[in-house]
Amino acid sequence: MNSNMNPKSMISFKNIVKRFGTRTILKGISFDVAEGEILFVLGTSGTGKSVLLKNIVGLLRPDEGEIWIDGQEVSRIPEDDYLPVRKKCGMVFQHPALFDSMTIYDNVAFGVRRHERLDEAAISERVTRCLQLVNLADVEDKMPGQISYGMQKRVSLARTVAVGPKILLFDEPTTGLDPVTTSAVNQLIKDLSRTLKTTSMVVSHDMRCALEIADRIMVLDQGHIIAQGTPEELKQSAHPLVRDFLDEAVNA
Amino acid sequence: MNGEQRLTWNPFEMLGFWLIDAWAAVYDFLSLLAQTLMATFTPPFRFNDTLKQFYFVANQSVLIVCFCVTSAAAVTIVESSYHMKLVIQNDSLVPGFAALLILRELGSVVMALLITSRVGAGLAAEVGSMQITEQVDALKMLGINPIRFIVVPRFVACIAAGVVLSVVANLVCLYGAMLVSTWKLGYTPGGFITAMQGFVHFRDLIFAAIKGAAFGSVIPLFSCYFGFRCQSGAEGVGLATTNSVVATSVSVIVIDFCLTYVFTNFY
Repeated sequence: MNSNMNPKSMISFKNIVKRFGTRTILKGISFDVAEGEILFVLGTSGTGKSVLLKNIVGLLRPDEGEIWIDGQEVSRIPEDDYLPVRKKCGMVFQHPALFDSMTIYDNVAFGVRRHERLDEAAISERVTRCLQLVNLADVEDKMPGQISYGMQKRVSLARTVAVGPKILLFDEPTTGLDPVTTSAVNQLIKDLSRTLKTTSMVVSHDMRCALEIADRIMVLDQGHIIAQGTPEELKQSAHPLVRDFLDEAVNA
Repeated sequence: MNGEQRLTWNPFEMLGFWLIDAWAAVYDFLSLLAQTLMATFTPPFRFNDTLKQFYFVANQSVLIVCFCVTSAAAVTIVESSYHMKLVIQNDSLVPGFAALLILRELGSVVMALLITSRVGAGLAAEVGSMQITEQVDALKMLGINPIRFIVVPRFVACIAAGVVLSVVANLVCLYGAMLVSTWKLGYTPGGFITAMQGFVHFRDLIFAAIKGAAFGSVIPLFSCYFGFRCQSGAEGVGLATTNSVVATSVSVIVIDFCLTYVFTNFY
């Protein structure tokens, strides 16, 4: 445990630099996410938002800097030691990323079977509860290809919360969804974060949704944090990109 | 290339970049091979998945493999008979030479190339699709090692299927050659087998099985290697599939040469 670290921080980035070849995507990013907080990360496409999330869970590793997750520095630990860190984090990907060859039931039960020694009745109860959390019923026996894209996204959310993570990471959870489903998924993110008392980090383009449900918003541009604060603080920002996002939210 | 642009016309720089990329590719492949071997011999073992893969690779391929090798055997018999009659005025050596060619090369190599196109291409497309739809990352997030989950069952199944299919393909091929010889060249089945026994022995079938295992091992390795490196989009999946088929086919030919060279010490 680092004694200098804020004890309430669940995620802490310290001067993170990430390069792909000669291109630098993250240019010395530092921020903290407090326990129970919902942080929205906004930015234009290709600005490094997804790279930021993947660095948290070790799917990408930073070239410089430190990443602290729940009091543990993780940026240099070997791949095999990352498993307990990933068990604390649940990630909802840009794609639903459901396993095509399994039913919805098996998809949601997959992580539970892997990590917990439960009998099938307990697994079934957990799967049903998680699907109810995302407002889905009677889909257990279907294959991913037999349900809509919006439902697949919600199943993906159910699979993620089924293993009981302390941190929820969402990579553009509403991309490709219609406005009604977008609104439902956003409400789900808020409800899940409050119900399960998780720390949540959401990468998105959607300022309107961020203003509604975020505790704090961070705006990335060209690998730098250009603005961060509560929704009210961000509304006062004079930065042109932040204003663009705010104007678009008003128009929407 | 790691995604960055390298615009240069300096031949030394181009050679340098090529060498860096080639080394990175070789390193990644060797790393995949090492991790696969490590996961193959350490628990947990995925017996059910391995059996499912074995069924897919072996059972569902056996008919097409038998059909193709039998056709190849028929061509071999007819061609060798024609040319032998031209050169030495009789075709008494056809059964022996045909059996030599079938057992030492044709049976296992044709089988491997068919499995490469039937199983290897599908596997590269499957893994490539999993990669670009983030299913591989989802596996990692759920604490599953993708190599243990995806590669190892297919690696073990393809090795076992390579052995079985190689033996079956060779036996069917020899049987086909015997039928064609009987029908076209006037041999009796007994005469064909007697003529064949002067040239080939049981150890040739063992060597063919060893070749089958070696060919079977490279198919899932190259398919998964290119699948894991797949770039986004349909074009990326297509490229991964093409690259895996080309690399596997070339490696089958190279491995065939190396093993044949080694086996000549035992003939």
